[in-house]
Formats: sequence, C-alpha cells, structure tokens
Amino acid sequence: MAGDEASVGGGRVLYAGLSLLDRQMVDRNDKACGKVDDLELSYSGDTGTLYVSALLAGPGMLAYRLRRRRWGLWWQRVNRAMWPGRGLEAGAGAGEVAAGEVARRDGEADLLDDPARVPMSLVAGIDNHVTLGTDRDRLATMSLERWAREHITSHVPGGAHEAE
Amino acid sequence: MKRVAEIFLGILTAIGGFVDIGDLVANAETGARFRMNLAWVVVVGVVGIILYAEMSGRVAAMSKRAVFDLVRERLGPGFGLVNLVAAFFINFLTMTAEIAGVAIAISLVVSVNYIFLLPVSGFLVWLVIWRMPFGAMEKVFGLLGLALLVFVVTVWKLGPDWNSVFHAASHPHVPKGETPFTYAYYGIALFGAAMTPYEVFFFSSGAVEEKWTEKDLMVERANVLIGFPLGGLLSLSIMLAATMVFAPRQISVDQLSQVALPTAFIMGKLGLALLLLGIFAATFGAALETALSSGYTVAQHFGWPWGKHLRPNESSRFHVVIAMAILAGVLFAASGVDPVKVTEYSIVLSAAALPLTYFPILVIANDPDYVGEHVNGRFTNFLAFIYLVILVLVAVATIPLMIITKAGA
Amino acid sequence: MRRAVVVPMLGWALTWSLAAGACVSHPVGPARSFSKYEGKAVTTAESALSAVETVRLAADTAAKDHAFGPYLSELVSEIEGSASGVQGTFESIQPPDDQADQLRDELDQILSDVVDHISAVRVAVRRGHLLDLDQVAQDLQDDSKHLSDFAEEHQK
Repeated sequence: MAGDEASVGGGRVLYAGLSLLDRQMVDRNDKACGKVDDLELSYSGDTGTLYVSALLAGPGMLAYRLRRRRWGLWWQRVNRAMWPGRGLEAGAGAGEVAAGEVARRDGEADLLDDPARVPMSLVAGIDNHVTLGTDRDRLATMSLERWAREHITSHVPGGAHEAE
Repeated sequence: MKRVAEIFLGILTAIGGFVDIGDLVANAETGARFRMNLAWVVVVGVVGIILYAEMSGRVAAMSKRAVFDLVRERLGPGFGLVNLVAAFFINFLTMTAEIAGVAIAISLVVSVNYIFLLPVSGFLVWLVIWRMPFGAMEKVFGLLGLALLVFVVTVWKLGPDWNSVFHAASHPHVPKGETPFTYAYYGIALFGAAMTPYEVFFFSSGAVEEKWTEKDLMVERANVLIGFPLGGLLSLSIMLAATMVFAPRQISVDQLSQVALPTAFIMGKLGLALLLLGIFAATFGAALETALSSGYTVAQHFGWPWGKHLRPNESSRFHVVIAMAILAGVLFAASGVDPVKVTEYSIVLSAAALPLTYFPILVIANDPDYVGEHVNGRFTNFLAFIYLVILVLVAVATIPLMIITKAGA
Repeated sequence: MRRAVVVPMLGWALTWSLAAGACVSHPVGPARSFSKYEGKAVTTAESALSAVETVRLAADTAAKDHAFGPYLSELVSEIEGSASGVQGTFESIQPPDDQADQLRDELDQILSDVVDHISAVRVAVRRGHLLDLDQVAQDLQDDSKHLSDFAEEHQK
C-alpha cells in the first residue's frame, strides 16, 4: 500500500474498526470471497505501535469476536484439522508473509492460523469493500467453498454450467 | 417502446407474483370470518410493501449490494446475526408452507395425497433454482400467477352490491362472535401476508442479480407503484369472494382446497382449472423466492459468493444452503404439520419480525454513501417513519395476541 | 455491537420461537366447569358445521358439473379428515359433571352422523357419481340444522 495521508511506519492510517471490519472482501477479479470477520493486530518493535497484520475470516472468527470464544476456537480447530497446511499456496504472496516477525495473540495463537487468515500483504485496495490482489481460489479462507464445490456441487449435473 | 414493454411486463409479473400461500389463506380466512371488516388492513399492508420494496430496490440498484450484506456492514455483526437467525427461521416456515402449497395444488389435479407429492414439489423447486436463469424464472411464474385473476371474475359474476361492499369496508367493526383480540390477531396475519419480508430479501437480491443501475429505477418504481396495488386488489377479491360465498354459510377456511370452491361453484370447470394453475404458479414462484432467500441471507451475511448469475460451482456454499433448506422444508412438511397452520404462523411471525429488516433499510436509504443523490425524499421519510411506528407496535403486540387468542382459535 | 444489545435481542427471538411452538397444540384444552365444557362444545359444533357446509357446497358444485373428480375427491376427503379430527378432539375432553355427560352424548351423536354422511359423499365422489352428488349430500342438510340449533341453544 502506498503511504498517502499521514504515514506511520510506511502504512496508511485508517480506523481499522470502521474501514475494515465487516467489509466484503473481493478478489482481483471482483469476486466475493468472504467478510472481514476480525482483525489480527501485531506489535511493531520499530515504531512501538500496533498494526493490522492480517484480516481474519470465517464463522469461527466471527464467533470469537462476538465473545463466543470456545465455539470460535472449536470451529477453527475443526477447520485446521480438515485443511492442514492448505494455507497460502506458493506464489499467492506467500513470500511476503514474514511469519516469524508476527507477534500473535498469546495463548491461542496457533489456533488462529491459516484457514482463517488473509495477510495484509495481499490487500490491494480498501474502498467500501476490501480488494485482494490474488485469485480467490488461492485463498486459504475459501477452503470450505472449494470443499463444497469438489465434494458436492461438481458432482451434480449442470453444476459447471450457467443456468440456461 | 422497448422500455414500455419492459415496464408492462414487469407490472404483470408483479401482480402475478404478489399473491402467495399467505395471501391466499389469510384473505380467504378473514373474508369468511370477518367479512370485509379487515379489508382496510390489506390497504395499509400494500402501502407498506410499496414503501419498503421501493426503498430496498433503490438501495440495491444504487449500491449494487443486497439487504443482508448491508445490514451487517451498517449495523454490525451482532445485530446482523440475530437478524439472520430470525429471518432464516421465518423464511423457512414460509418456504415450507409454499412447498406444501405446490404439493396441494398438484394433489387437487392428480388426486394423490399431497404428502406423497412433497418430494416431487421440493425436487422441482430445487431443479428450477439449479438450472433456470433468474429472469426467465421470475417471468414464467409471475405471468402464470396471473391465472389467479379468475378470482376477480368470480367476484364480478357474484355481482356484489358495490355500495354496500364499500360501506362495509370503510366502516369496519368487530363482528358478532369475535373479540377485539381475534380481530387484531387476524389483522396482523393479513398485514404480515401483504408485507412478507422475504419479498424484500428477494427483491433486493434480484436487483443485484439482474445488475440494476440508476437507469432501472424508473422501471422498478413502476413495477412497485402499479403492480403491487393491483396485486392488493387481487387479494381483496379473494377476501370478497370468501365474504360472499363462505360467510353466509358459516364456513371457515382451514384447507387450501376450500379456497378454490367459490370459483368452481360460480365459474365451473374452466375457472377451477385456471385457479388451480394460478395457485400452483403462485406457490411455486414463492417457493423459489423463499428457497433462494434462505441462500441469499446466509451467503450475504458471511460474504460468500452468491446468486443465480454465477455457475453453481462458483457459488457452491450458496447452493448447498438452498438444497439443505429445501430438504429440511420437505421433511418438516411431511412430518404431518398442518400446512394452513404453518402458513398462519409464518405470516404472523413475519409481521412480528418486520422491524428487524425494515429499520436497516430505512437507515441505509437515507445514507448518501450508499444511495448517492437518491436518498429518501421528505414525504417518503414521513410515511416511512409512520410505518416504523406501526411495525414496532405490531411486533410488540403479536406474541401477547397469539397467546390470548390461542393463535386465532 | 455490544453484548448488552445482542443478548436481549437473542432473548426476544427465542421467546417468540417458543411462543410459536407452544401455540402449535390444539386450541381445545381441558374443561373444569360445565360452562367451560359447554363453550368447547359450541366451538366444536361450529367447526363441524363449517365442514358440513363445505361438503354441501362442494356437492352443489359437482351437481352443476362445475368441478373435476380429483379436486372434489381431495377436498371432500380432507374435510372428512378434519371433521373426524374435530370429533376425536371433542371426545377426548373430560366432561366435568352429569350435565356435561348429557351434552356430550347429544353432540357426539350429531358428530357421528356428520362423519358418516361426509364419508358417504366421499365414496360417491370416488365412484364418479358427481352429477347426483347433491342427492347423496341430502342428509347433511339435517346435520347442518342440528349443529346450528345446538350451537345457538348453548351459546351464551
């Protein structure tokens, strides 16, 4: 992101709660790919400030944010068990995720991982929706959609065609 | 010229699509029990749905976003989720009633108990959603629904004394043998039938599916402003037919098949055939709309890809939700619940839940960030505020009335 | 949105789901006194009267050759089902005293006639005797009178 307006540590200053939370995410082809259900905040040692390091998406994240924490964590555990290591596939900006630098929420950190995370480095634009600079088929957060397609809709005749 | 044809077709579709199982049941029931004493509620309901549908169509055309998408963004995930649960549940009841209505309409032609036809009805609904394009789907069932206009012909052939009809409708009172509570309860049922919220989820999602823009606003207004009042007249003719045929014979309506009896009695076989076709089309069209709405509401809340304009493989979760809702609806209907009772509950609860979706639409229709220069005018806001008060009063009164009247018994 | 708002709203949603569930049961409950019982008897008679009049109207329609067999057959058998349902529900109400026993016998007799006569119409429809269905339904005219007399006599 180019640093217009006031710059802190090279990023744009936005009211994250207002401009990001609950916004629709679309991929670079303008296709819907979930809502911003929660934000991952990280602490930057350089500037001494908190910054948004990832957008979090999925019913588990939403439940967690709405203080149904146990339910949210359970959902994430199931999610991770179903799609282990199907986070970012090579090329989808994987190199940009500097995993080691990100200070996660203590305790539950590992449960908030891959299938619910869209790193900020993938964000291409913030408007009244959030545009991601990748194809939605490469997003870890779309695992369930892909699962439904592979296991259900693609087996039904007509699933691959437009209605006619 | 093309635009005129488009507007005309849209109006016809709006009339044919206005009536669903809720309107059929509520208008016939209240006509039989209260004669024309609740006719004014239909008028209030039609004005309400005009306001509400026009606002949500405008919001969808200007922002390219449907209701549930905006509800969450504008009013937060907590409110959005409560709204989603309530809307999904009520929409499910309505969908169950419509699917049962389709099965009953078929059963009246093939003489097989409707329970056995429920799977057929559910499958057909699913198939049309899976395969038929949105525009064609809406037009086919809307236009076939016009067959219900035989109700108007029935009333005309019954030849009421119009002066006394107008007098009765404009001087409403609680009839003998009824209490103010049952009167109010059935009033709410009629109101909920006219203002069904699923029409609004569907209307706004449809506007997005058909990629409406500012240019389509005129067509949209014409559909709503002309089509809905004519649809309301159709509802009133159902009520009047019941008033003239059922009330003097002390018949109360508790089966959908009874609704066709006045027309058969007066008009004969052709009239009956048209009416059964109309009931089939109206309930089938509404089953499609409610089944789609179950997918729309969930997908829009969670930001999933949705819509019939996408291939099913591109909106898999949306289609899975719809298919599961249809299956659950068929099972629920087959469990032996009385379809007419399910219809009654769905319209009464719809009325109670209306503020949940009406309020956000009203807020967004006043927000230039979403609708640009097309924010509500002063007159619209004045009316919309009056309706907000009415809706809140209805919502508060519904459950106590349901308990006091034992659901209208 | 705050929890303070969400929780009451969830509660509200839950309350009316429960209320809806509670209302699904049949409106005829227990009767603790004769006048309660009498009231329920009148409601029952009115429901039965509606069934009788529906079938009579259907029979007249059939006699005018104004309706198809499948439609009439479904309509009449549905009405037959609801009439016997009404009778069953009434019989299941415990009569509170002797006076109520008498009332029960009186109405039950009429209801049995009603169900029999509606069944006869249903049989005739299934056999395709549509044009003289009004003849078959003749008996229902008396039933109708009995029911409305009963309702009128016991109405408060």
